[in-house]
Amino acid sequence: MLRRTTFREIKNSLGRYLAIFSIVALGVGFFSGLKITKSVMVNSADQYLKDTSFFDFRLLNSYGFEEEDVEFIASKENVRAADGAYFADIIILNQKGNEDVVKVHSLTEGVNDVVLKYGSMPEKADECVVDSNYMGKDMIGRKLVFSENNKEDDLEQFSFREYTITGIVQASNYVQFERGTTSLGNGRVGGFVYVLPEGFAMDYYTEIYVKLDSDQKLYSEDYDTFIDEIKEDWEGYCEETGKRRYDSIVAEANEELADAQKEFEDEKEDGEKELNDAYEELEEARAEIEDGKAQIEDAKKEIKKAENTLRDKEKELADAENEILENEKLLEDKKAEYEEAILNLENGKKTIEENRASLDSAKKKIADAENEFKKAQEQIDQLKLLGIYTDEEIAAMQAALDNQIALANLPAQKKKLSAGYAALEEAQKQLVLAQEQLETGKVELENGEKELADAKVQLEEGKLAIEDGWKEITENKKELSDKEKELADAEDELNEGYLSYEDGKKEFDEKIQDAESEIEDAKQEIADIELPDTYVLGRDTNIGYVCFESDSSIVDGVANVFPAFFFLVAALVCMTTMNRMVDEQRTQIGVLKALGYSDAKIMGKYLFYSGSAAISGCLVGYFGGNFIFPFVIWIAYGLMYHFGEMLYVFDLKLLIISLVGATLCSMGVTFFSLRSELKEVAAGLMRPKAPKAGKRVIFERIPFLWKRLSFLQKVSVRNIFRYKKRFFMMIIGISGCTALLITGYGIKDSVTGIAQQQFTKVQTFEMTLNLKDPVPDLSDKKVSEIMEVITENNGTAALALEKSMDLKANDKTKNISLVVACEPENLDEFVNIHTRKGDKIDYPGVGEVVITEKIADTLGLSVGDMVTITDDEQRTIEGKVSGIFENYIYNYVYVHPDTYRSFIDEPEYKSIYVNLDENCDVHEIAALLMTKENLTSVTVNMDTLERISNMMSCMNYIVYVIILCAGSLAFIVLFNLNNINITERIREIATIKVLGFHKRETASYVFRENTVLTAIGCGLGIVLGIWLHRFVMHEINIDLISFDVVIKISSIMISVILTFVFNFIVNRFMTGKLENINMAESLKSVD
Amino acid sequence: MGAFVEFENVGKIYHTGEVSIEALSNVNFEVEKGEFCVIVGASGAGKTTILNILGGMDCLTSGKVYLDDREISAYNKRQLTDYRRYDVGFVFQFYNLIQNLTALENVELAAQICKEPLDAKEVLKEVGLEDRMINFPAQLSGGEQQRVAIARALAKNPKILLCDEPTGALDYNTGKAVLKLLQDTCRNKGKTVIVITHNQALTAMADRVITVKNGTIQSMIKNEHITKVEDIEW
Repeated sequence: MLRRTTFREIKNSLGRYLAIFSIVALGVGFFSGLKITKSVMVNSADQYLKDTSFFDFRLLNSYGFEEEDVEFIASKENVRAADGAYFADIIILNQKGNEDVVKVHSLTEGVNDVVLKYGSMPEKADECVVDSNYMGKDMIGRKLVFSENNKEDDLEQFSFREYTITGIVQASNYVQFERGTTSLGNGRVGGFVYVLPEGFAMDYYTEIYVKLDSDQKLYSEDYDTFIDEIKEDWEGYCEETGKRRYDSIVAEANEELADAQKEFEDEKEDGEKELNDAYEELEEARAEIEDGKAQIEDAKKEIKKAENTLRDKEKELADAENEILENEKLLEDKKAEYEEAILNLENGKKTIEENRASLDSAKKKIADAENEFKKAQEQIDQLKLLGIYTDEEIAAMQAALDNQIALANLPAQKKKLSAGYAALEEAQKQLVLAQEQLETGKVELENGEKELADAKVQLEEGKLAIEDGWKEITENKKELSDKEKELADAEDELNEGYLSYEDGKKEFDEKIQDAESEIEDAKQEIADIELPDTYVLGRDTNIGYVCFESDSSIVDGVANVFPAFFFLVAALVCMTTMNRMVDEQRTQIGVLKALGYSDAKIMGKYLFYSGSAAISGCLVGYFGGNFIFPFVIWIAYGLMYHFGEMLYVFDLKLLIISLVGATLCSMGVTFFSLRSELKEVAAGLMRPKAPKAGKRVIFERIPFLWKRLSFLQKVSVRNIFRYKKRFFMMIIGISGCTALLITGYGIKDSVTGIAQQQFTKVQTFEMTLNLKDPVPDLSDKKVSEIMEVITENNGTAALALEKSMDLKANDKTKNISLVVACEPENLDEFVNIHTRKGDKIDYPGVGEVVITEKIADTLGLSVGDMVTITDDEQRTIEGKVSGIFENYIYNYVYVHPDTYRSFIDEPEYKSIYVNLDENCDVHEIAALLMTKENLTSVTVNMDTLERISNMMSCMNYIVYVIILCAGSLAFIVLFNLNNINITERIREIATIKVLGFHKRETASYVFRENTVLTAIGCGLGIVLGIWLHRFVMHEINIDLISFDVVIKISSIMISVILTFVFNFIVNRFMTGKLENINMAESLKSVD
Repeated sequence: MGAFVEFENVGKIYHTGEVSIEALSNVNFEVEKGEFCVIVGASGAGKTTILNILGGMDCLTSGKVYLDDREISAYNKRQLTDYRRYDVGFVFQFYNLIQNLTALENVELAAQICKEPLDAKEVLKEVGLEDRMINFPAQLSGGEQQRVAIARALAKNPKILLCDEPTGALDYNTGKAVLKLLQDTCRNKGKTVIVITHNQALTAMADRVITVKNGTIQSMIKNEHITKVEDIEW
């Protein structure tokens, strides 16, 4: 019978029953759903990684590995599979003909399997399978072609220049969408490619992947301890392979050295022999030349002798010729004498003639002169006779004539003339004598002439003979000089030979010395060969593996906060509902008790009521939550990860916790409220419980305000404070709803905003260029082409060094990106370093560092603390924190170039930050820049922003889930409370209605409290939401990203508005219920 | 011009699921203005149904009801609400005061929605609760609460005062006092008062006694010998 009432009870108060059911379902669903999500994610990932034999260790060795190293590693304990692998980055041409960089791996056996999505696995060395994120199945059968712009070194790592795509795969090595970076092309890896090991043309493996014989769950502590325990051993193994590799390299080098040395010795010997031979040859040549010289000397002497003889003969001949010439001259003289004698003779004859003639003429003249003087005396005598002239004048004339006669001396002359005639006769006599002498001379002369002609002939003959002799000598001389010249040439040659011999010897010696020092160097080099750097990398170095953990932790972070809250609300709802029910059924309980039913049986009825609602709600919630939450979140994460199929997890413990929780909330509450009732006697129970007394509230003590309220408002105010339990529940429910909404939207704001914040508030530049070779400043020639492009586009640039380093402080270490600006004073334009409050932070001075908030938070640093920054070569920078700045992506630390210089080295600036005009096409310029010299990659911030935004878009799903939950929470709480409120106050409401209150008046009478409470709840919810959001954001801890813990005003507004909308909808729904209250019925009885 | 209150062949059938219960059938009566009318009958006779219909809280199935020449039975919901609001004053067996309002506020609550309300304090004074105005219902005795309820009904200045077993929850003396108050109200203010009771004794003080039995009017008697409340005993 009791059972029947129980079922009827449920049927009659289905709303209440459903309220318990649904709040428990929601609470449990939310709790278990979120709790299980991480397990589901981790389990699915775990299964996927198990199925694909995801590596446990990745061994790296700076010298690479050989086949025997792989065998050695494979032989170790716990190893399920180990395989050597190659990898290399290469530029390919994609379908559009653009260049992309892909990472090519070799397929490994038993570890790091790939999952074939389409097509088939490669069978030939020139076949490959490609990243499913990178290419679709339409690419199967086509060729993957390497770009011509690859460096030869890069191409040489491969056996082929193009590979046929046989399939599309997913790889456990790449569970996340991030494919990493590369030094080639644009710096970003577009996708991965797997080929058979034969597809590579490398001599040694670049890495070894190891799958251990352990199946601990990923991210589990078991796994971590397992790995921690054996990691040291493995480091030992890896070092051993390194040692082996080292030994073999050293041995090889030594062998090579020995060969080289032998070769050197041989060559040295050969060289020396050659040199000696050459020297001997030279010596021989020299002796020959000496001989030649002696011969020439002899010949010269002979010639000289011959010359002398010839010269003697010549002299003789010349003497003879002289004699002849003298004789000739003599003869000539004699002839001339003869001629002269003839001429003299002739002349003598002539002179005689002439003397005769002149003697004759002189005789005549003397005769003439005597005639004249006689005449002249006759004339003077005549004149004296005539007397015309004075005697004196005739005297004078006489005197003058006398004088002239005196002068003519005519008698002397006549004497002389007679002498002349005598001489002449003498001369004629002598002449006849000479003529006789002449005749004999003439015969003598004719004989001499004949003799001379003979001598002349003889001389001519001698002359000819001598000429021949000279000729012969000249010829000999010429021959000799030729020979001499030849000999001189030979000598020159010999000297040259000597010189070149010397040179050769010198060279040889030098070469020997060089070779010896080279060998020494080589020996030193061999001695200097260091043991290789070996690395044993665990799964924690795989981006996808690590990110998945932190990303799934986001869910866990949320799961840590919300479910507890939901449980609280569920408990409260159960409590008020059951309390109300017990209150309502007081009389009935009394009746049952009076009828003699035991307390236990009565208790059983109510416990069954609440328990069945709670347990069924719990089950529905558990399975619903376990299905929906992981499903939605898996889909969301599917945007970023591929982990194969999702595997649902059944967690009995969680179910038991949920069941116990739900049962305690419902049945426990029922038990306690019933127990106090059951203590009363039946009669007492059957009397109506006195209605809860009205009370003045504190508010009334402020008459100023109180008086202004209408009665209805007064009632509302009093009611609000009248039912404390309901008040708190309402406040908790509503504030919880608002808080959830704010948190949900806040998470979205915080997460989606970071990239935006980073690139609009902090790093305001448009792109980063990475240089191949460092430059000391932007005016350097190596960046002139780049700078030209930037300047043409009205851009500005800043040079910086970016370097990954470790920052240590307070015994903790964090990986950071060190930035050294070349010109710190110009960095403002590019990076806005400021505090969260917006105050500008100065670029750190020498010995100072500026760090991000995230670093400061993680390491517990504040301004003025000292930090140590270490690079991979253990060089350190120490500095004082001079500022902590707002930053969202990556952990930057800024230091002054002088600091870097003094602690480490001259900074090698390889990054250029570029600011561009707002209107220009950044990508176009980026593409243009890529063609320039000395540039390895261009990172456009806009792209990064987009990428991160995409990545974060899966957060939206989580936000929707939260909003949905918040909404259902608000509905259930409001509905339930209103339901209770109305049933509890049904008489009051009926009275109001009877009194003639209109529909709207009645509704507002009832619901005003709701609205006020909603308002109060909202207010509290905002505070709670901000706190909750902060808490959740703190729980979500991702290393490289610092969330902007901010909630937009609009998000708060939306949350508040949504809460009110929920309230309004519930109120609307409840108004109908009010309408149905039957005034007449309600007025009758108390129960 | 008929009587102040007039029931014409009123019938009322309740439908509960498949069961139909005829609560009233062919009810005819009238009450004159200013009369003190007692409707008496056993439990379940249908007297409350009559009151509900007259009070505009329930609809009838057939017939007509007039009050002050207006046909209430023809009113729609909205008009019924207005009717209750302006024309009817209710006094309930269990007072039905708003627990969260003081005595004065309870009266004012009703008064503030009327067109020509009486002064709440005045009315309370009249019902003898001058000193208890600022008390909450829980702080008042049953009789006091019922007097507050009457004051609340009166303050609306209604055309008619409907009282459903006003003494049902009260002890003898208190009940008497309340009845006295009602009678005085009727006499002094000329209000039409209809009291529903199962107590035959009360018929002695009424101007008109209507006896209901099994959903029909058994008798309607004009009482010529009105007894003072003080003299009635039960």
